[in-house]
Amino acid sequence: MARFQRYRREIASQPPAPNRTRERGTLEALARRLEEQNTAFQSAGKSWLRGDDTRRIRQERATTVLEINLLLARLGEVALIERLERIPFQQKSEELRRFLSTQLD
Amino acid sequence: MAELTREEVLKRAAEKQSFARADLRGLDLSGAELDGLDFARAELDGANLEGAKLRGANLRNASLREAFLKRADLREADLDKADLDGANLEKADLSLANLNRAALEGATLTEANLRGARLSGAELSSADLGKAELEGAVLAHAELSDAYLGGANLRAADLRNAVLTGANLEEAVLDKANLTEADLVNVRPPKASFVGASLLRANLSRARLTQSKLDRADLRHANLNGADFESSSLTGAKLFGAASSSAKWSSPVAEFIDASAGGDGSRPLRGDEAELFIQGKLSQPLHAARYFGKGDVLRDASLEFGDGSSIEIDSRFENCSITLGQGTDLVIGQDGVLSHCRITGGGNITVHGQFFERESPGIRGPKTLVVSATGALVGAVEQAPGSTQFAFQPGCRLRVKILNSPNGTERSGAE
Repeated sequence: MARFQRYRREIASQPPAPNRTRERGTLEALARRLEEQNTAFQSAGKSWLRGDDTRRIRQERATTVLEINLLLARLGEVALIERLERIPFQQKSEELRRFLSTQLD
Repeated sequence: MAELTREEVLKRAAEKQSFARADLRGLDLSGAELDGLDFARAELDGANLEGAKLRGANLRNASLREAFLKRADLREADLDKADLDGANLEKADLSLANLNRAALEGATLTEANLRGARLSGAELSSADLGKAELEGAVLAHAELSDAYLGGANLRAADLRNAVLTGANLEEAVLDKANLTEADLVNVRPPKASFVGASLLRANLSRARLTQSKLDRADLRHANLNGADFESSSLTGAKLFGAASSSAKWSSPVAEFIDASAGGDGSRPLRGDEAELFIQGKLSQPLHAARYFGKGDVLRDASLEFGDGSSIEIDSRFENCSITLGQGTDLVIGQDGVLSHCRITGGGNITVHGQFFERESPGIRGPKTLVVSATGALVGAVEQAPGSTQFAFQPGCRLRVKILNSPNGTERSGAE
């Protein structure tokens, strides 16, 4: 709920820039974070000390995906959201990188 | 990646070929007709199976990590020990599916149909089961810690020994569910409904049960310490032996509560008495309670219990002699077995388990004797001086002789 309220505040105060530079920067940061969280999740999964760590990273990763979806929705990229929903986390990062390198140039 | 293409899979599927141990990772099989096919130990990680028809398919030990199974038809599918970690099963139909010991950690099961599904020992930590349909599902020994079950229907579900630590059950319906010995520590079920549910010996410490319905719920011997019952309803709730001294009871609604050891309604309490009882201030000083748990064995012992005390036995007693004081409640629980034993004295005996006498009469002078549908009684019963009240539920197993006095005549025999 708090996240949604923050998002509402942000979109009310900041309409998308014509060249979408701000969104690109945010999306790049989120894509990077998703990649790091995915690597951390995979490492934690291999460890004997699974449990709380895995659970926390899983939750954080889900939050990142939610933030990515909100940003992409703001950019009108509904087809990309739907594509991302259907693929594993590792591929989500790759797909986002591809999108950043082509669509937002 | 995958050893087959989508087209090859569809061609082989039409010929009913087996995909056991096949590598199908990341394949797009959305909407594919795969009913009844063999995918045992197949690798389907990250595969897109959206809307796929997998009714009755064999997916035992299959790996489906992060697979996309939204709206898939998995009715009666065998997913025993399948790995569905992080899979998306939103709105999937899993009714009557076998998911015993399946790994579903972090899986999305929002609005999934799991009616009558078997999930014994399944790993569902952090899974999203919001508004899922789980009526009559078997989740015994399942791991559901930190799972989201908001608005889920768990009516008559079997959750015995399930772990629900920190789970969110807001507005979930658990009426008549079996949560015996379940771990509900720190669970968050505001506005959840547990009407008629069994929470026998469940651990509800620090659970937030605000505005929840617990009418007729069996909370005997449950751990309620630190639980919050603000504005919850508890009419007819069975609370014998519940540890509740540090529970928060601000304005609970209860016309009466059941304080009997057997949970048979024989000791209803109202008003101040009920309030004192649920606050743990009434039961212990007036009536000593003893509980003999499942798994213990007691042999060749002689036990005496004072007037008005309460005893519940889920252990195995062999060759024991038990003396009950006046008004003492003795409950032989469903797991309790009294083999070659004798019970003497004017107590109230309820048999949900089994009693076999050592020598006749095996039971002497009880005030009341109730044998429930799950109970078995083999032996002679010598009535109390002013006669004994008997109640035998349909389905109970009896081989009984009822005697009028120590030297009295045999009154009736039943088998």
